[in-house]
Amino acid sequence: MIHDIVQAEIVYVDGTDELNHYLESNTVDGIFIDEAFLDKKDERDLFFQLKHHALTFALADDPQKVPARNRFHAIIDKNAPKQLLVPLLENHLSLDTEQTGTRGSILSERETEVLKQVALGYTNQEIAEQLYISRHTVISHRKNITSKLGIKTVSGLTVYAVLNNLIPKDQIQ
Amino acid sequence: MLFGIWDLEFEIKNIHLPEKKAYMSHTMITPEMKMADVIHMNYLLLPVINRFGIELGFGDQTVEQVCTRQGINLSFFLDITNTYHDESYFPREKMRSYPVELMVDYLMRTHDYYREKLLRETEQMVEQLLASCRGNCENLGLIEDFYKKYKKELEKHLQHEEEKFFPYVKALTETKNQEKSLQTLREQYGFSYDAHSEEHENVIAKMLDLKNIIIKYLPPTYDTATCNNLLYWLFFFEEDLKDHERLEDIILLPALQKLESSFPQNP
Repeated sequence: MIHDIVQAEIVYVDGTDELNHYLESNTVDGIFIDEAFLDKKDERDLFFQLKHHALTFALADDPQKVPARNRFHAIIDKNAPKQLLVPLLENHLSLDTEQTGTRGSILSERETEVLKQVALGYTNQEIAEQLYISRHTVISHRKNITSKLGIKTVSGLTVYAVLNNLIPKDQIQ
Repeated sequence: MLFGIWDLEFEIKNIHLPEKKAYMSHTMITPEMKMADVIHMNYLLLPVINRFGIELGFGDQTVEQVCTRQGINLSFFLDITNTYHDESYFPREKMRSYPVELMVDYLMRTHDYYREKLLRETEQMVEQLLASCRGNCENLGLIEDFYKKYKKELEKHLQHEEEKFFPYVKALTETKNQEKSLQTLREQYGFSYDAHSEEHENVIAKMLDLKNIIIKYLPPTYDTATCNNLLYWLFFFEEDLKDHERLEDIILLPALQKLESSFPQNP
């Protein structure tokens, strides 16, 4: 599946021993791990450590059931349509060089609205309800904000919002 | 979820790819190398070497000679310094073979260094930045607040590791606990892998944010040289935090998993 959507050199390895062997003499950008390999705790632990060497993606039929989900860079639904995976992967594979946010720093009106709410301490769900958009849209806006500004954490975004007079200082929690 | 893609990175994680350091050459640190040359090759190793109790003034002594003199486990010293020096260095099996006490002891020293040196000095530099203010100083106050909160958070994290994580690791090595189940021990010490990993990510992400806010968005109502000093220091601080996290993930966690594997999974 991945071969269809990524224009890159792809190497298949079977199991952690082969993978370890390959990594000893090669560097890689991303590693895709089939959920079949995640059943064994030992193998799973190796993948967690790999995040220091490459982006790690878990491939799953049911992403909800992937163990220790937050230890991968992203979980990919094997059944997701191809056109949705491409931007996700491109985004991930290029994000690492954009620590400072290089995509043009002007926030759209909507992004500014979302930023204000984030700075005021609201959760994604609360923001979605207040702005009449889906939670997924909020997440997508937040991703763009972070990518444009180069600021990831809520406290960082709050300082940015006050510096730019988007929210008054006394409203910081 | 609408699109069937679980994009966890945004909410919880940041992407930390091993970026290649400009100062870094890929020469490994070896027993025969002169200790002075190690420092010339990568001066960021200075505090790492200090944590082993090594002080400067070693003349032409080699790494091996200095370690022998100080009673330091040479192989462990090499693995730690090489892990700092080269981000792709990853001798997994060897790392698992060290006694965890060795690693915990090293990490404790790192914590002391953070508390007594890095955090304190950074606070002073932030204060100096404020003192150098000309004109509107309100914005600089935001930086001070941000840093104070950050400092508290990091201190809490260090304390948490010292009171829960490290004792948990040590407990696994004690014979009196051999009969207990992992679950019991984890509950007893309040340890969880996921919470542990998440805290690390957060500590590093905030440091990156602080740097970016100063570099990109803070109006320069301060003395430039004073601000540069703070920034140099923050870059250095961030590197050390990242390396610290890598050491725990690459060395301590595998050793921990090895220990855990000898315990029954269920009560």
